[in-house]
Formats: sequence, C-alpha cells, structure tokens
Amino acid sequence: MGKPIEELNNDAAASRLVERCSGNPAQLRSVAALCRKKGTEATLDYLEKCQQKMRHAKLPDAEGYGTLFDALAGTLQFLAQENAGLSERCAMLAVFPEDSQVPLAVVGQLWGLDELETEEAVDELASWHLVEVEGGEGSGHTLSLIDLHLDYLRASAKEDLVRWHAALLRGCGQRVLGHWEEGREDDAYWGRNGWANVLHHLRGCGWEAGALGGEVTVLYLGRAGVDDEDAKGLAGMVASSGSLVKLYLHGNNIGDEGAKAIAAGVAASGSLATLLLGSNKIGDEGAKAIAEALVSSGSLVKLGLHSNSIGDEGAKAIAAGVAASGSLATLDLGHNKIGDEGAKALAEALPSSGSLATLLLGYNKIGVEGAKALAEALLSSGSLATLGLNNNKIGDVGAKALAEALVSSGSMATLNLRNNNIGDVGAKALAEALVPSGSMSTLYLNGNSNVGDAAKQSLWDAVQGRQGFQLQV
Amino acid sequence: MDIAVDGAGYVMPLIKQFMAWFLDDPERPSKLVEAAKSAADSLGLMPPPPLPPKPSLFGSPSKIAAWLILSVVIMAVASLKSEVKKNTIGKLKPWWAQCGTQTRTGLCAVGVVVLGVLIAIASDELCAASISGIKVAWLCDAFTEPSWFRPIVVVGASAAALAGIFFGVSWLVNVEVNASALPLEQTTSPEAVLDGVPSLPKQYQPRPQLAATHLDALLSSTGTMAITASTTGVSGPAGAGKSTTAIVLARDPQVHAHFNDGVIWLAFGRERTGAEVLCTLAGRLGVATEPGTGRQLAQDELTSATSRALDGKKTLLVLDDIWRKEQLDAFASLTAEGGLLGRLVTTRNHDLAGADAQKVDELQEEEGLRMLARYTWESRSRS
Repeated sequence: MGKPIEELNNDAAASRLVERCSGNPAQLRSVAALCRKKGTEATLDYLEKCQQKMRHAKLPDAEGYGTLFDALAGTLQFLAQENAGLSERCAMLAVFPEDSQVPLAVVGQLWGLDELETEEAVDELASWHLVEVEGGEGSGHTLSLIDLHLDYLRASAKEDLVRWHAALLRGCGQRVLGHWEEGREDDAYWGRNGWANVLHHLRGCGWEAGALGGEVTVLYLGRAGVDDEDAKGLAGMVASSGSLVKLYLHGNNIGDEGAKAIAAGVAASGSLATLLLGSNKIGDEGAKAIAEALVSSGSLVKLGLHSNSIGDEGAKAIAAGVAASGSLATLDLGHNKIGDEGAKALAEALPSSGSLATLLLGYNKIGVEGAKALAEALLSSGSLATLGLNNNKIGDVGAKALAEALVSSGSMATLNLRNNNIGDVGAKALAEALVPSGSMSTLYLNGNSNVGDAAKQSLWDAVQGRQGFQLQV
Repeated sequence: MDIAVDGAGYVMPLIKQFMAWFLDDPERPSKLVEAAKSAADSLGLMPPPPLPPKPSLFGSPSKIAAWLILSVVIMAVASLKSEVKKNTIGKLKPWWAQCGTQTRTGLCAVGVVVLGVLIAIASDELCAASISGIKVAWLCDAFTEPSWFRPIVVVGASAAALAGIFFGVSWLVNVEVNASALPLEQTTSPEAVLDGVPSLPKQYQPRPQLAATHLDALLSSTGTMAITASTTGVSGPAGAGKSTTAIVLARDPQVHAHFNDGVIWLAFGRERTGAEVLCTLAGRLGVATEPGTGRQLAQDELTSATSRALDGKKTLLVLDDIWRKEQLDAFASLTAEGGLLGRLVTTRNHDLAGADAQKVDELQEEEGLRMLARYTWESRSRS
C-alpha cells in the first residue's frame, strides 16, 4: 500500500493543509490521521469549521501556543464523534508525567482494562498518531505522548484529572503504594524512579483520601521527594483514611511545618501504628507537634525520628508524649542533637510509660548525667527491653551506673554501648552485672578502646556457658 | 602467500631435525629405527649428515629482522582489517568484537611476534646469538644435547608455526569472503550503550540536511550544544521536532564513534527539578548511595560522585526538554576528567539555548507533503 507522493504534489488541499500547519511536524501528524479517514479536501473543510468553533471555546492554558492546538483539537473532536470511549481514554492519558514511557500494564490500570483490551485501544490511538508505542520482545511495550499533546490534554481535562489520578492509584492499590515488589511488567514505571511517580499521582489527585481505597494499610513514600506542601496534603489523607496502619516517610524533605501537619493527621487517625520520619529536616518545633500527636493518638506503636535535628527541647516534649502514650513501644531518636537534658527528660518519662520497650538514642550527645538518669529509670521501668546508647559519651561512670541498674532490672535484654569512651572500670562493672539470673541477652561494648584484656576476659567469663548470649567487646 | 612458503621452508628442516634426533637414539628398538629410516628415505625426509655445530652470528639478526618486518606488515594489515570489518567479525566472534581496537591490534602483534621468535628459536638460528645483550645460551644447551627438552621445543614450535600460519592465512581469506557476502551494517555499532534513548517514530521522515548540520555542530562542540525551534513562523516552538532531532543524533553511529562509552537520555520537562534528574543519573550510574552504608548522597556529593563515575569515559548526556536555568545549572559542574562529556540540550526557551543554538526549522512545502503522505497512508506496524 502507500499513496505515491506525486498524487499529493498536485493536491491543492494537501498544500493548504501543510501551510495551515505552518510546517510543524506535530500538527501534520494530527492532520494525517484525519486525512486517512476523510481525504484531504474534507479535512481542510472540517478543520476550518472546527477553528471557528474553537475561537469561542478557548482553552485557558493554550496561550502562547498560537494555532498549534488547532489541528490536534480537530482530530480529537473527530475521534470523539467516531469513538467516544476511545476519546475519553485518550484524555485520561493526561495523568502521566511528561516525557515518560509508561508500560502498557500501567495504562491498563488507569483504564481498568485487561492486557488485550489495553493493547487494542493503544493500537487504535497510535493509528490516530495520538500516542507513540515503543518496545520489543520481553520488556513489554511502553506508551509515550509528545509534549504538545500532553499539554493539550491537561489543559482540556481540568478537574477530571484529579478523578483519574485517584482512579489509577486505586487500581494499583497496596502492591504499588505499600512497597514495591520487583519483577512486574510495570517495574519501569513504579520501580525505576523510586517513588517519585507515586508522589506525582498523589499530588495529582490532590491527596484525596479515596485514592488509597479501603484495603491499603501501608503507604510507602520513602525517598520520594515529599516536601512540606505534600506533607500537608498527606496529613489530610492520613486523618480520613480509616485503614492506614504504616506510613513510611524517611529520606524526604519534611521540615517543621510538614511535621506539624503530619502530627495533626496522625492525631486524628485512629489506625496508624507505624510512623517513620527518619532522615528528614525536623527540628524541635516539629518534634513538639509530634509529641502532642503521641498523646492524643491511641494507636501509635512505632515512631522513627532518627537523623533529624531534634535537640533537648524536642526531646523533652517527646518525653512528655511517651509518658502519656499508652501504646508506644518503639522510639528511635538516633542521630539527633540530644544532650543530657533531653536524656534526663526521657528517663523521667520511662517509669510512667507501661509500653515502651525499645529506646534508641545512638549518635547523640549524651554524657554521664544522662546515663545516670537513664540507669535510675531502668530500676523502675517494667517494660524497657532495648536501650541504644552507642556513640555517645557516657564513660566509665555512666557505664557503672547502668551496670548497677541492670542487676535489678527485670526486663532489660539488649544494651548497646559501643563507642562510649568506656574503660576497665565500666567494663568490669558490667561483667559483674551479667548475673545468670538476669534478663540480659545482648551486650555491645566494642569500639571502647580503653577496655583492657583482663576486663574483656571477665566479661567473657561472666557469659560463659549462657546459651544464645551475644557479647561484642 | 609469502607466509606459507616461508613457513614450509622452515618446517622441512624441522622435520628433518626431528628425524635426526629420532634415529640417533641408541636405546630405541632397532626394528622401529629401521622402519622409520626406510619410510623417511622414500619420502625424502632423511636428515643430511650432521654438520659441525657452528651457528652463523651474522645470519641470525638479519633473519630475526626479516621476521619482525613481516610481523609488522601482518599486524598493520590485521588492524586495518579489524577496523573496517569490525561488525562482520563481531558477528563471527563476539569476544573479538568485545575487545577495543587497540586490544585487537595488540593481540595480533603479540601473536605474530611470538610466532616469529618461536620459529627462529626452533630453527636453531638463535643458538649463539644474543638480542640486545640478553643471552639465550640455555636454549643452545637444550639443542646441542639430545634431552627431553629438545623434542618438546621442536615439536611444539613446529605445531605452533603451522597452526599460526594456517590460522593467519585462513583468517585473512575468511574475512575477505565474509565481508563480501554480508553487507556492512549501517546501524548502531555493537559497543554503543544507549541508556533510555527513545526510538524514532515508525513513520519518521528523515531530514538529511538538517541532521548533517546538527551532527557537525555536535561533534565539533566543546561542551554543550542546544537545539531549539526557529520562531520565524506562527507555529511557536512546540512540536517542531527538537526531541526527534536529538533522538536521530543519539542514534547516529558517528556520534557513537565520538562518544564511545554511550549516550544517556535524561528527560526533564516542566515538573522535574535539576536535582531530581541528577539523582536519577547518579542512580543509573550506580553512585546514588554511599558504598557500604547505602546512605543516600546529598546534592553536592552527588555531583562529585557522578563526575567520578564519568571520569575517563566519553559520554553524551541528552538533556531533553529543559525549561529553567536551574535544571541546566544542576548539570553545569559535572566533569569527566580524562574523558569527554558532551551535553545535548533541547529546549523551547531561546534564552537558555543561547545565541549559537542549532535551530530546527519548519518544514518546507515539499518536506511537509512528504511527511503528510507518510503519516497518512503508510501502514503502521508494531513488532
């Protein structure tokens, strides 16, 4: 098949069409689809009629594009007459990020069609030159839109976009939103850009709670590029979702503002149990807000705040939250700026909390005083089993205080005291504290270069014959 | 064919020498010796009467020089052939295609030189000679006394020489034959790594003159080359074919020859920030996280880590659809020390493109009609 170019050379209508498209390849593509269905002369007529109509219904974002959209608008209008369903599907493609290659599996999720139906519809759209299809055997086909088309579709879709973004997310459900499992056909879309595309669609749907669907219990947005604005939207989603149990937000750009918003969302949620906010930019103000959420949320079990900028003030506020919370079991405050004051406040909160089992305070600035306060708290806490104090400065005095408390603690099982300037005195005290009747099962003491061989031996002797005891010196 | 004649000239004395050693051994069973003698007689392989061992001091260096000259000639021919017929040989022997040109030439050189020296040794020419002051007297000892070592050297060297000559000649002939039988491929060379480069539209209508201009500009540009659309018409810059032109360039074999470590396509657009795309690039190069801990690198660390990953490589980065200066700035400080880092930018923004940007013109009527015809009537086929 194929019509010889000579025929077009003598076709006045064809020349007029090229002129109308101002020699723009993208427009010519759109016109070509019409020419195939109607012939050149009818196409020319049709476009002129369309243009008059469009002068009245001008697209808001079409400024600056001149007549660029005319031919495309004409094609889409004709498609809508011919096949309304396909026209709507084409419009829905506006939800995808620009310049991206979307696996057909994802397109199918958006349209709610199975593999075969999706392929058929995509083929049809490709024959209208509205989409590009790529890919060979094995990797599966991908679909892409040229910028011009995407701009037009977005400008004309308006509020429908929100609905379609939400529909796509609902279609994907827990498998995509929870945590990525590799080896699926839509890997290239959800897997390759981290969670940036999930974030794109969440933003697109305006953080509408319905996008999560009822069965989504885990929302994973680790390292997705979530900022304070997003956090505000996300907070609303968390507050109104009745099913969300775990929220992963580590490695983003959430500051105090975002933390405040999320805290409000968590307080309102009756189901959220795990909140991971590590490696963000949360300071004392944000920590205070989260502490308040701890008080009012009855469901939060695990709170991760490591690698932020929380100082003593923030730690004090969180301590108050820990004391009041009846559910919190794990608190990670490692890699912050907490000193003795913060540690003391946390220590004072321990006896009142009946649920906290794991407290991680590694890589902070806790000295002797903080360690002493924590040691005292161990005596009266009935729940704490794991205490992480690695990479602080508790020294021999702090270690000795902790050792004395260990003897009478009935719950402590794991103590991490790596890199703490502990010497022979502290190590020997700890060795004495490791009585066979105690509850301890793991002790990390490595990285304390002042512990001599004799002290090390006494530690080894203390745990001699105890099945499963982990000792690192 | 010189090789074969020369080879035969050396092989015959070797066989005779072997016969001499075989017949001289008093412990060999006399029946076997008699049989070998009569067989050798009838084939004309009987060794000449032993000459007093007096190797010529002047003969050796000249023969060695002759071998070396021959080696250089074969080497030159081989490297030329491998350069021209890279694709064809690549099909026959994937491992061969995987080596670089220099490695290929090097292998040929080493092979031929080793061959030459082995033959020279085996033909006893080297015995009393020394090259550049290195004594090879131990080899003489091995040859002057019939020991277990001598037959191994003689037989091994003859075999190597025969095999080498056979392989060399048949390889050169083979390449010639295969090259004429198979058309040379004009598409992507096997070494080019295309990361994320989209395919051309099925009905892409080539614009040869445009492509040639851009290609020249890209290959002669020192850092960044921008493509933008001309705005003389009413059409505005969208949809003029900037990205398509970039795809044509990214898939051009000449571009691959210039940037032979590959082309990396990075899509920007209005929404993505420069920092995000830099992170994507670092991820593709496998340097986005700290080795060991897996910690995500910070922005300033990403730039240096990415630069280190590009060091010594010749890479072309295609920065497609740039909207803001910030997006370009994130890539401005990337370097490839000891290598080559090209940046091909497409943008609708004339200010970002700069004054010497390459323009994609609107289609002339003839071109436009051709494209319309192609999109309208040519069958669309999907693999």
